[in-house]
Order: sequence, then structure tokens, then C-alpha cells
Amino acid sequence: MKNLFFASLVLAVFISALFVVVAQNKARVLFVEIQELESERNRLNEDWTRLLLEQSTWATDARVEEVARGQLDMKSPDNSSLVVIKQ
Amino acid sequence: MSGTEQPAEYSKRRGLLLGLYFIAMSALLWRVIDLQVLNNEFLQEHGNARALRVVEIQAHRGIITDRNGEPLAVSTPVKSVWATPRKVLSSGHDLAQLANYMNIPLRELSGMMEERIGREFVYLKRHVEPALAEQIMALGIPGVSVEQEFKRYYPAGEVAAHIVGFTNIDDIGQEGLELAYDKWLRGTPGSKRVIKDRLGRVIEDVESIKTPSQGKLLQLSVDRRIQYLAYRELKSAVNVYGARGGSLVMLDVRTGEILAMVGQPSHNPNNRSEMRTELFRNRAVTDVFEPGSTIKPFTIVAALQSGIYSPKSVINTAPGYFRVGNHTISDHRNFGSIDIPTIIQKSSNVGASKIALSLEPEMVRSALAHVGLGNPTGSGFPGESAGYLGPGPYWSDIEVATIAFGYGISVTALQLAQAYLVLAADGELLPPTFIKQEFPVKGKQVIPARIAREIRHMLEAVVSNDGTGGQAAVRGYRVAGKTGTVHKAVGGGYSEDKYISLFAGMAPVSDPRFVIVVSIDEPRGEKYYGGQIAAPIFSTVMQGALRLMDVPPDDLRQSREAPIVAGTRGAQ
Repeated sequence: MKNLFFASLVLAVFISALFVVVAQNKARVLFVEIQELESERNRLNEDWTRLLLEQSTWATDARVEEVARGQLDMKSPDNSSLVVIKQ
Repeated sequence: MSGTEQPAEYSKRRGLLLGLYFIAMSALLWRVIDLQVLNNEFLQEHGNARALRVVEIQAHRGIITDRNGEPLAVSTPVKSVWATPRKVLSSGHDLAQLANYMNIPLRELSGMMEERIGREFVYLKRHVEPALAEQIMALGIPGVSVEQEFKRYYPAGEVAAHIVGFTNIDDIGQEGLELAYDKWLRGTPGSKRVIKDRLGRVIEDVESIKTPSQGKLLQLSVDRRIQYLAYRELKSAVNVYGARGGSLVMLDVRTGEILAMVGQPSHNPNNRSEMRTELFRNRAVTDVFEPGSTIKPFTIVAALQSGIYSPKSVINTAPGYFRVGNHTISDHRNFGSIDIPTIIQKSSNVGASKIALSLEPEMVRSALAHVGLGNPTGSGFPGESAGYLGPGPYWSDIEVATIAFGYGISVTALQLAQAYLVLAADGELLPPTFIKQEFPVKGKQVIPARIAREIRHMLEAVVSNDGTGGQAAVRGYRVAGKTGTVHKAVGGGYSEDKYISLFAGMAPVSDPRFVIVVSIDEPRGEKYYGGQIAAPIFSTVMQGALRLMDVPPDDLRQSREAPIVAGTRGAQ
């Protein structure tokens, strides 16, 4: 009886040791995966900030104004051509 | 030969052989125990030390945007090239190409390396384009490595330079809001354990030690479009009038948000080589000036609060000057007997002084202190000045008489804007803020709403053909404001020909939304009055802001120049 108990404990330890190995391996695989995803995210973030900068450089108010007035010959309407709609 | 008679003496030999085997095996076994059990920890440590590395996971600095999410400061990854000089020099590799990429003479490069041969880490070039960094790495010089860093870009450049400030090369806030909110913006780098090979390449990620926390986004109250408009107008005015400088502050009346704040001269934060410290100063919060006539409305607030005066009270300002002690206080001309709104409209120093002198001595001072003068506004901007309101609670007669028209005290443009915001917000004091507010802010009632409205109506009369600030008018909107032309204090007295031109005002009067303060420092030329120089800037910026923020016109009086109201067009 005592021996049986002892044997089952040994077996339990052995099985749990296996589980530890499996869990450790799983954790590593997941960590590697998360690292890959994170570096992917960082890369996308880099692209995004670069695009953000590029966009805001093109959309600088000074440039928009210059294009609007200079190239497109736009102007802000004077008051005689404004119509205010009262609600 | 018979096999049965095995020689007995061989058993000794066998014993010896077995003994030797046993000793050899014991030695091996001992070695195994020694390695695996006794010295395990030590050896494991050294093994790990050769392969396992803790590396930093970088965190980027938060983005600063304007109120609509337009970026004002963005960190973008760049590479920095560094070297271990000892390794580089001992490799005997040809450095000519490296020097070429770094754009410096070869002699200089190797000289620098030899000088720093004792160091493990020397930056060769910081903040290079990723493409260039790749080219340098492709040379394969031992001891040369690349690390990732961040460089801060300011897409709005000069336009928002004073508010946003800038960071140093290590991405730490140095000026402006970059400094004030450095902790919020800055990320904390994390770390992880990795296995590296002999050449230092990461083979495997082992575990995460600390996750990095990225810098947080900072959304300002500033509107980049209005900011640009204000910047453009102020810059051109400073150039046209040859002024030493100038500043403009615009506040949202409902929240105390700073919608625009510009100063001249300015600098481009993207170009470090052009930076001069005197250009960093955000004049609107650091520089103080005597507010001159722009303070008169608050003298009148004190008068109305005392109960002695009403808007209909008449003051005799004849003959246009009077003496207080040894000093003469004078107007531009003799206005005669005028009521209080006319004192404001014509900006009579004599009238304001006489009223102030007739009040209890501390009343004018407390009226000024209540609207926030003499105290920092609490905007949290680094280096903000508190201005100067003089020691209280009592002032001498001459102090009261001159402070009544704005001499003897000093304010920042932001403080003056905050004070006018009290008039615009029906008597509520709101602390100005650089951060976007999601909800309306409840201020502290410091002036009765009725008096604030009365003052607004007096200020509206200033912005007319009969007043000093006619050029501040915005078509279609009712505008209220006050001009100021201040003689600059120079050593021992006031300069005869150096002025500060001021205009402080609000629109639309029926339900004020914005307050703008414009100050131009030492305009040179024939024009120097606040009504001639600062008021037109106010008008242009206010007009643009009202349009950009979709504020409906409140002045639709029929005139040839006023906007046409739909439905009345056919009748004209």
C-alpha cells in the first residue's frame, strides 16, 4: 500500500515535470511570436510616423495657402459675395 | 596446449586493469559531479554570460498634436552609428569608405579613434538616415555598430515653436511644453533577455523582463490653423513696422483654452544649428510690459463695484491735465466733461485717474488682483512670469493715479488676455490652459456679471469710428476691445519715442467666444498707436478665427459692406 502510494507520487512528479517542460516550451514559442508581432508593430509605427510627417509637411498651412492663392488662383470671398442664412 | 590451465598470475593483471578502469571512471565521475553539481552555478553563470544578454526595448516619445489631432511634434526612428575604437583600429580595416559616408576626412576619423582608444563606446554619427546606416553596416568593419534612436520633428516648425518648445539630442524636453510635460511624453524603455551568437546577433528571445511603456499623446488646445494665421499676421506686422518683437495670445472664452500663442522673433526647432537662446523665449508668458490704457476697463470695474459711479456718471477732465503731487497727468487733448463710457472710448488718462483717486485706496488694486494680475496664471508654462502689481494693500496717491491708466504695474500678454477673458465671460476667472478641454470649464465669479456686460458695451464703443480702436472691427461681428500705447520704461524714466502698441479685445460681443491680445514692441516709424498697429492684426486674426471656428455673425445691420442676409437680397 505504502509502496503503491510512493510509486504514484513518483509518477505524478514525473508527469508534472513533463508538463513543466511543455509549458516552458509553449511560453517560449509564444514569446517569440509576440516579439515578432511587436517588431512588426514597431515597423508599422515607424512607417506611420514617417507618413504622418510627410502628410503634415505637404499640408503645412503656408504651403496650402501658397498653392491655393498662387497656383489655383483662389481667394477668400469678400463680404459682398457672402450670404448668411438665418435659421 | 590445453586451455584448462589458465595461468593464475593473469588474475592479478586483470585486477590491475579493472582497478585502472575504476580509477579512470572515478575521475570522470568526479569531474561530472564537479561540473554538474559542485560548480554548476558558477559554470551556468559564465555560460549564460557568454550567450544570454539583457537588451533594452526602446520606447518612443509621445506625439504632441493640436486640438484637431494635427501633429506638432513627432518622434521618428533614426539610426546612430557607434564604434569601439580599439576593435576598429586593431582590425586594420580600411576606414576611407567609412569616413566618406560620415562626410569627414579620413585623418580626422582615425585621429578621433586613437584619441578615444580606451573607450568602449563612441558615437561616430548620431541621427543618420536608415539607408546610410545600412550602407555603413554593409562595410562590415569590426567594432562598428548601429543603434536605434529617435529624432523629434516639428512639422509646424517656426509657427508653434514657442509653445511646443523642443528636446535635446537625447530626446529630453528642454523648453516649452516639451519640458513642462516631459514626464507624460517620455516613454520608459523595457528590457528583455535574448540569446546572442558570437557575432552579437540575436538568435532567440528568451523572456520579457520589463515591458516598455510608450510615451503618451499630448493634445494641446492650440488650433494649428489659427496659430498659423496669427503667426503670419504678427510676423508681417513686425517686419513692416520694423518692431523689435511682438506677441499675440488668443483664448477661448468658454474654456480658458489657449487657441493661439505666437511670438516674434521666432526660431525653427528642426534646425539646431540656427538656434540662439534669445529666440527661445515665449514672449507671451515670459516678457512683462506696462499695460497702459488697456487697464482702464478694470479701473472702471472698480468704480462701478464701489457703487459710487454708474455708467452715466460724468467726470470733468478739463483742462486735459491735472497734478498729483509733483506729477502731471495729461490727455492728448481736452475732452471736457465726459461720462464713463466716453472715458473708455477716448481713453482719457485724466478721467481714469480722477475716478481711481476718488475710490477707497485699495479698490483699484483688488480689482486688478481679482482678474489675475500680479499672479502667475497657472498655465504651467516653464518660466512663466507673475508680472508685478506692487506691494499692497495700499498705494500712494500717485501710484493709484498712474496705475489707473496702466503705468507702475506690469503684466504678461497672457495675463492681460486672462483679465479680458473675465470681462468676456460675464465676470468669471478661468485659468488659461495649453491642454485641450473636453468639457466647459466653470470659472470663479470675480466680477458681477452685470458690470462685466456694462464694460463690454463700453469697449464696443471703442471699436468704432469715434473710438481709438476702429481698425479692430470685423465685418459682420460686434467687436469690443481697448487700445493701448505705452511709453517704454527706460533707465530712470519713460522713453519719448519707444512704445509698445497694444490691443486687447473680444468678439462677438453678444456672446463672446474669443479674446485676443496683441502687443508690438517698439514699432519704428510714424505709426505707433495701438489702434494703428495692434488693432488691424487683431481684426485679421479674429476674422479668420471666427470663420474657422464657425461662429455665426451677430451684426447683420444693413449696410453696403455687411453680409447679405438670405431672403433680403431681392429687396435690395
